[in-house]
Amino acid sequence: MSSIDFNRFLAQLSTTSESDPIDPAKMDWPESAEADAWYFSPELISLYGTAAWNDLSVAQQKRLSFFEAVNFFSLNIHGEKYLISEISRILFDGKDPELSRYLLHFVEEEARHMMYFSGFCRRYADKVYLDRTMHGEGSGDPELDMFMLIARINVFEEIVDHYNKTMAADERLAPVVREINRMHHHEELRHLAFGRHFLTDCLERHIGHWDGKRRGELREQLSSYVDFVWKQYYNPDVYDDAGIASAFDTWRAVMQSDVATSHRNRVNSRRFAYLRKLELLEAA
Amino acid sequence: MDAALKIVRDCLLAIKPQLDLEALSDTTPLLKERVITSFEVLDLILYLEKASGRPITRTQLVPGSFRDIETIARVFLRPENSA
Repeated sequence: MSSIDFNRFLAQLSTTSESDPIDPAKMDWPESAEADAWYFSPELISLYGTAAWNDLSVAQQKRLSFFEAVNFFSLNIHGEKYLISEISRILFDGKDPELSRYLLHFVEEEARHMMYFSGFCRRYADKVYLDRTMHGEGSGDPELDMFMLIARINVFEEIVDHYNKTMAADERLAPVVREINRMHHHEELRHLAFGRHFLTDCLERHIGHWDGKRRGELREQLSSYVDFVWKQYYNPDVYDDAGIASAFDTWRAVMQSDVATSHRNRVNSRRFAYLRKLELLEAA
Repeated sequence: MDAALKIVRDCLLAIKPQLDLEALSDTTPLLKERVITSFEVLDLILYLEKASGRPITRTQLVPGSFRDIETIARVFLRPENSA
């Protein structure tokens, strides 16, 4: 894609953002969260298919599904906070004004997403789970740091979108949860399209001439980031809140379990084909 | 060996079993020398919380808190001594 085409693409994204905003204030919140409901698709629950899962009654599995939803919304809130702070730092810094125009919409949309994610957590769980993530410092090369920022955002959003898309269509779930997932999926499609085009454009323009060693380092960094994002889906606080004995040991066991590893590999395989095509991740 | 330093070493080994702990001094810069990455800190925190019996606070979560084994012990396991 030429820089003219990329700018045209950015302008289209901005126009769509301006004409198609989602207003979280219009969200219809139920009075309370019913105990006898699914809040997370069972197949996406972190313990699904493990011995710990099979030991739970259906009522306990539903309780776990509620706290898994709170964790999913919490990790989205923390991811969006990070994204907003990092993107805001590079807005209107002399780069392409069309890029800043779209990134401003991007930031605005992420702030709105936090409203409905936190709305659920606050109303029904009276908490947002603690953010235990720590992000490293930049490389000092602004071009590389911008590229890696968008790549990390894209990895985060691809996994989130797999969950959003699945749960928006899952008729077993409480309607409020389906709606939140639907709204997020709807707007994230633009963010994902932006990320993919940005990375392709940036690779062609700035990174295409890099030698194998430097590109290998990029691949290694991004691959570690994929693992880092996945770790956030396994939270011992969730197991503790769901009443699972030995929450810490359950967490330690599930991270290593074959069933959880297969799940992550399956999602990675579906969602990261383009990153592998760009040679930003190792072939599956 | 100081109990807190031993706990930190045990936690590091738990998240990275291939680590050669004997090659690390209590002041080896862990992040700078890439002994651990900022991404691996997430697991380390959970082990430290389990060992100390208390949750971390967000203000403790800065790269400086994970500079070396001695610093981790001071910040997370002996926070009363953390200035």
